Amino acid sequence: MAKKLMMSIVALLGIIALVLTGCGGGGGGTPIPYLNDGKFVQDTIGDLDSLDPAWGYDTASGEQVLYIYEPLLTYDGAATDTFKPLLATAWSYNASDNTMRFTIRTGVTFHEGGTLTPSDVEYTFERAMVQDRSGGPIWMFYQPLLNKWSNTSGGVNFTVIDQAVEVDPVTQEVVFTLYDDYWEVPFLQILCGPWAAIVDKEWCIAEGDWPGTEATWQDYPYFNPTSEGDTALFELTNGTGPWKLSLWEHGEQIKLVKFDDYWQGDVPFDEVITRVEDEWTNRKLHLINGDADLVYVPRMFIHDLDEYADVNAIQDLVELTLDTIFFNMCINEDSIYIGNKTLGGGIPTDFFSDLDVRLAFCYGFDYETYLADALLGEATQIASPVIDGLSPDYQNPAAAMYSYDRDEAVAHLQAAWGGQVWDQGFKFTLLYNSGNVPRKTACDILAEEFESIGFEYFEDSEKFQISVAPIAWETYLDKIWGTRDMPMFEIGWMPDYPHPDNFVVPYMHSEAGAFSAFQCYGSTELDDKITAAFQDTNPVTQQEKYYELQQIYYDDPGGIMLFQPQGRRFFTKYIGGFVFNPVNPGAPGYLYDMSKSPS
Amino acid sequence: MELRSYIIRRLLLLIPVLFGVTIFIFGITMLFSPIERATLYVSDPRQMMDLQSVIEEYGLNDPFWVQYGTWVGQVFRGNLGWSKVVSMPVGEAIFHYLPATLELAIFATPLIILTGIFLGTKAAAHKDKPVDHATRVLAILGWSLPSFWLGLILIMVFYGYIRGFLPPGRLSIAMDGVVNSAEFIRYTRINTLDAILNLNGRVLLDALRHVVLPVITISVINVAFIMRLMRSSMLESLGKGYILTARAKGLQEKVVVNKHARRNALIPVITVSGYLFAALAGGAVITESIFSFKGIGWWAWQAASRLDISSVLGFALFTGVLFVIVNLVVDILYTRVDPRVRLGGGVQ
Repeated sequence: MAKKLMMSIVALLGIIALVLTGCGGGGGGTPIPYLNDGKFVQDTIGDLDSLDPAWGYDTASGEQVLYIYEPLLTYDGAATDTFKPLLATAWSYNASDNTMRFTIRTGVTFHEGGTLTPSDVEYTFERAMVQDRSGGPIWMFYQPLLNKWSNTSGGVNFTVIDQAVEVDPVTQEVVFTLYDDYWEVPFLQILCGPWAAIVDKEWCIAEGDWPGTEATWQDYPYFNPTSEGDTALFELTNGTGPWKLSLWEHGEQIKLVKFDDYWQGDVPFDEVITRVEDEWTNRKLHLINGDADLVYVPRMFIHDLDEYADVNAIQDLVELTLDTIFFNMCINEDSIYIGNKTLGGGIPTDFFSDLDVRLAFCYGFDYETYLADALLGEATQIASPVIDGLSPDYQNPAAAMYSYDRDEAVAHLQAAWGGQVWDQGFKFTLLYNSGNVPRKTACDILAEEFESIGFEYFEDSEKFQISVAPIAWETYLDKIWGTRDMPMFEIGWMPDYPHPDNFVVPYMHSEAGAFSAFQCYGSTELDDKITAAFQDTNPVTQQEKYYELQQIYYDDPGGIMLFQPQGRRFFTKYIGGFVFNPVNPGAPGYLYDMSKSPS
Repeated sequence: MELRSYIIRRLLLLIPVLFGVTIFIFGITMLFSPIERATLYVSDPRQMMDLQSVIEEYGLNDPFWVQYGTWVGQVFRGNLGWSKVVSMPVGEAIFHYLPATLELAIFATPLIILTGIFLGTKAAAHKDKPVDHATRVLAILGWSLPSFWLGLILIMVFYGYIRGFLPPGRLSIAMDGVVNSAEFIRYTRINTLDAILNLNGRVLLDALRHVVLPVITISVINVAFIMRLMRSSMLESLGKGYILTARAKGLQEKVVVNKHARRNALIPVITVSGYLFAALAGGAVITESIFSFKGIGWWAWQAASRLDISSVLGFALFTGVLFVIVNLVVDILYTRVDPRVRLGGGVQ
């Protein structure tokens, strides 16, 4: 018996060793089987927040909302500057009274059987403006309609909300009154978003949502809810979209089934299944085993799928995002990342307010190496916050851009703070959010460059010393917007709508900028220029103004402009019809135009 | 002491235990600034502009005792809070993710214990013989394999190289459709058990295919521990006088080992096995994450990594209760295995 047992153990170890050293099978040559006919299955990371159109501000929520619900219009294919009708059949803008009128489509049925009416559209927007949870997307209605930020802003009451959207009793058109005419194009862009998806008024009220009355508009949870689960539409859905909700297992998967009475006719997939799969290995194996039709692939793994002939990698998709290393010109005095707060042993809190310091860093960054090594060449260096693909497209193709130039970096370092930086040197710590390899690489490139300058000119590699350290994401965010104690920070920006204003303001506005206001960048004069550029309705002069803003950011950089990424999508060869639109939330984009077949 | 009063006394002990656990965890989370905790409620950089209102709305600036008191008050009203990471109430999340974890624990625990006892007994009975050496090698292997590595290797071999054989997750797309259909009743949400109760062989087979690899991953590591524990406990038993007596009486070695020595050697194994079950039922964090076998451990990891305080506290409460109950069961089991042990007292 004992001998048998021993032999069994030895045999078991042998088998394990054999298996681990590679037992064949698999490989890129093996075809991906065609599975799950009629179903579109995608593996992604992270669950959605809510299916309530007025709540969701994350891309995962937006993607599912746009499968289930529909807005009045959407982007036309790949374009970000032209629109095609969905629940509206036509629209017009009257500059004399700033009204935008929408004719609502007839014969559209909600999943639960109701019929779409103009009053549903009116209710949708009023409900959203009443709800307007803190930190949510509905500021995008308040700004163009009322020139306010939220339902708690001064002057906001039920009457102004009610009057912002009305149904014309004669024509039955839905009428939005814009605050000013310069909102015309941005507002159309905003209306394409998931936050503008139309809900069924009667059904909502029957399900316990806001009754649509003045008496209740400030009651919880209709007004400013604090938990997504408190809103009636959190996981209860009733849209007009091609698919209706079948199952949402939180943190696991969301399953939609096709809506047989969809107004556009036949729906391409019987089921749309989105699974939360955090492990890259599992996502990859799901794809090559045919268990998923589309998977999320982190940039560092994009070449893992090169060998699989049946994987359709759609490349060079220009994303509407950008990454920047920002300079903090008013570092918190309590910061522990700036040494003794004086040159030589650290840096003063206003170190980066000196233009020469910033220019030294802009010239001291090796963009080429960074794009090639950290981003595997799948990104483009950018000159300013006005990037490629915006609408209107005001990116100046001839805009000046920094390139790596040690001589220039040294010259500006010598001039910085009247020569004190060159004489005394500096020390500070550069943080990145842990796990983000490209950001770590960017920090290392900067640190090594200045260390090298110190060694070359002073034979002292610690003359210009930048220490690099990781920190948790939540703490990193806190340090940007809360304690503000990081001397520099790298972060990305993704727009709500693809208008240049949605990029210039966060980068350059001294008060409203999501970044600039926190790095003490800008001035009231610059703010006026930003406002003037946005409000200019003449395309020629507006373009000039945005070109000027780009030049200003080059001359007086608030950060090291890094890159606009190029994305990829990885489908099995059985999926067709993908059209990339960088504004659409979610990887597949407009799923209704796609198909799946074994051929 | 009567069994009933012993159980009541032990259950009453839950109150200070849970108080201590929650105070400790709540205290740790308070080390993070209100802004850091507020970041949990936002999902976009521009929302950070509005963080102060988030802080005020959620009372994140309130003193520790106020925040803790608010939370405790909610718990007494049956509200454990909202789990941000999975967008559902914490209580619901526990019941939602527990079945997956229990499914792993139900398969893994007997496998670990029985294999561990069997191999440990054999090793002790053949001390310093080849079998003992072989089991020692197995134990070292088991101990030294990181579960995330073993899990990944198993997936790559049995789902990657052998295409589609033993997949991660809990069910295939097709069987998931069956399980979520009106014809299939999810009595327990433990897929294998529900498949049996629904008399559905295809679902049972599919669920078993998904259970195999995570159970092996968990077992390999834990078997090594039980095996070594059993071996040393057996060696101690085999050196006792009553074993010598049994042998002197001419009993077969098999009977001496399996009946006389093993029963006494089981006491420490029972203790550890109880905690092993509690630990597995509290979630095998890495294994569940690697295999996308989304149970309590996966949920707790998501919550901890994203500073989801309500979820972390809910998880702490759950595991606190679980360990106290398991401890109680283990104590009661002692009296069955070893009659010398009295409830609430020492050894007779």
